[in-house]
Amino acid sequence: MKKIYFGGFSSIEYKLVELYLNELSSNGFYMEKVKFGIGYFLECEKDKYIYCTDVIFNIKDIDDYKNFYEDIGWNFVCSIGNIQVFRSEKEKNLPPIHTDKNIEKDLIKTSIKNNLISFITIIIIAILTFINMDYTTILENIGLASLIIVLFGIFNSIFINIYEYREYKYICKIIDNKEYSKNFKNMVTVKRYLKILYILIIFIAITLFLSDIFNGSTVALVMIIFIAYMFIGGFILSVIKSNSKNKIKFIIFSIIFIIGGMAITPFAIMTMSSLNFNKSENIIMAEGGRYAKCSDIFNNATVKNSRYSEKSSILVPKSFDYYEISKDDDVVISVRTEYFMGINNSIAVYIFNGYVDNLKQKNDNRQYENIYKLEKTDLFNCDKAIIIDDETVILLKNNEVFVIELEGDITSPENINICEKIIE
Amino acid sequence: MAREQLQTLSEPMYYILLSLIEPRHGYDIMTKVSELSKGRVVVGAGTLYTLLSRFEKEEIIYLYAEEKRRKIYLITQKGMNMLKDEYIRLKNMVADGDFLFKK
Repeated sequence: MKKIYFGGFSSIEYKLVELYLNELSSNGFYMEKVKFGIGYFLECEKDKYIYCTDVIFNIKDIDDYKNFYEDIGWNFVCSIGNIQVFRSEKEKNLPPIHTDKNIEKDLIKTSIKNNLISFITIIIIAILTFINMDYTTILENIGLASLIIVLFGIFNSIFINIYEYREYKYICKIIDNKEYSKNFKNMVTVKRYLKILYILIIFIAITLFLSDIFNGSTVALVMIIFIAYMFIGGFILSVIKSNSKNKIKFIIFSIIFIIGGMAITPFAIMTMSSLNFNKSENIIMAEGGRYAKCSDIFNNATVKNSRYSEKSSILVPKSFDYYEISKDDDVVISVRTEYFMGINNSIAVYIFNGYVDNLKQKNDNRQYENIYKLEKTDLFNCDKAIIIDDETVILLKNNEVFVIELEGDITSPENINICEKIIE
Repeated sequence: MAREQLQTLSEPMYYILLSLIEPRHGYDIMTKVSELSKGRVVVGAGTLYTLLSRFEKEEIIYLYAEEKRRKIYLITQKGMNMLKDEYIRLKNMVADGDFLFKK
């Protein structure tokens, strides 16, 4: 028994699979089966079998297709994606599956077209991702994970399109001349490394998602549930499709699956966010943290309500948003602190600029010209400071960003004092 | 695209249609084609499958019967006309080239 990695072939490489199998056959090995991308080969007399591969797109009745080939003498061995592997005894001396060059070339052109369509889809997803991207993307691992997946998707898609086009030209040459000189072993090794790379990237993405779940991010949890739903549902659908010839059953299950997906997602999001909301209600914060409290302004302030939420990711290990409101003798004080700690100064600068850009955009959308007055100042003991609307200040110090909102003019000596204490 | 191609028949197409003057299934067609062409034209399983599906779609042939999962096809009147047109076209072409050998 000989095991050979046999996964990761794209449709267009059907010809290479054929050549590879025939090479193995001439060395006295025949393919028993392919399971999870591994080909199992058994020994037999040399050159007993000859292999021929076909590639199929849009074939409605796969059983009819296989029967047709078997009737002629090509025994079905296995399918690798769209590639169908057939075998017959060499002594039967059957003509190859494809005897018409033009029909064969037309067939593989379909594969190139399909690739191009998937490429366009990926580009659209990428554009949407980058349009919506701002500093909030890097606050949570889930944002980073999506970014990694999209970037990887783009590079992978570009790589595959170029690779497949080269392969197409090469296969056309093989069809025309029946000549080839390709080192199959190297090709299979490259495929194996690519597969490992895929698994690694998926692993990283899943780890990032899971870490977010442990940090209490409900979005990540909902996404994991949704992905699991899609995965399991897809699997069940494929089982139904392969086991039953009843198309109606398949269609009914598909509809249930889609409606279920549409119903489950908003429900899950609502449940999760309500859980999250309860968790963040009325948290009593310790004194002397790096955030503003009502008692900083008025010593005996009675806190009526407060809200705290926290996020963390690889690039921004800690960020939180704390809000507090107090009421004493009809005097209402509210303070708010947003805090971001980047792993280095440039991440902090990115967040700082992103925050300001977001505010500018909001300002533009509201079309009130003077609501957010942006101006630079060096009143605060930090690297960069921008005052908004006289009440809020955004401060950058080393790798940290603070957004502090206090009562009254933020540039008053008392308020500046409070801010300096916080960022110390 | 397929429609345009079918205005003139390619060599395998011509022989497949010729063999379908009588009801035949896949393997039968294959052997008949090489018999008719005296082994000159060989049609592979994949090529045959593709062409039969295309012919059926264009109503040049039709499903005559189904025996033990074997599909048996027969040429239609449309296909017959096409075949005859092609025969006349080819004959004219040969006749036009006759002078090459009459010198």
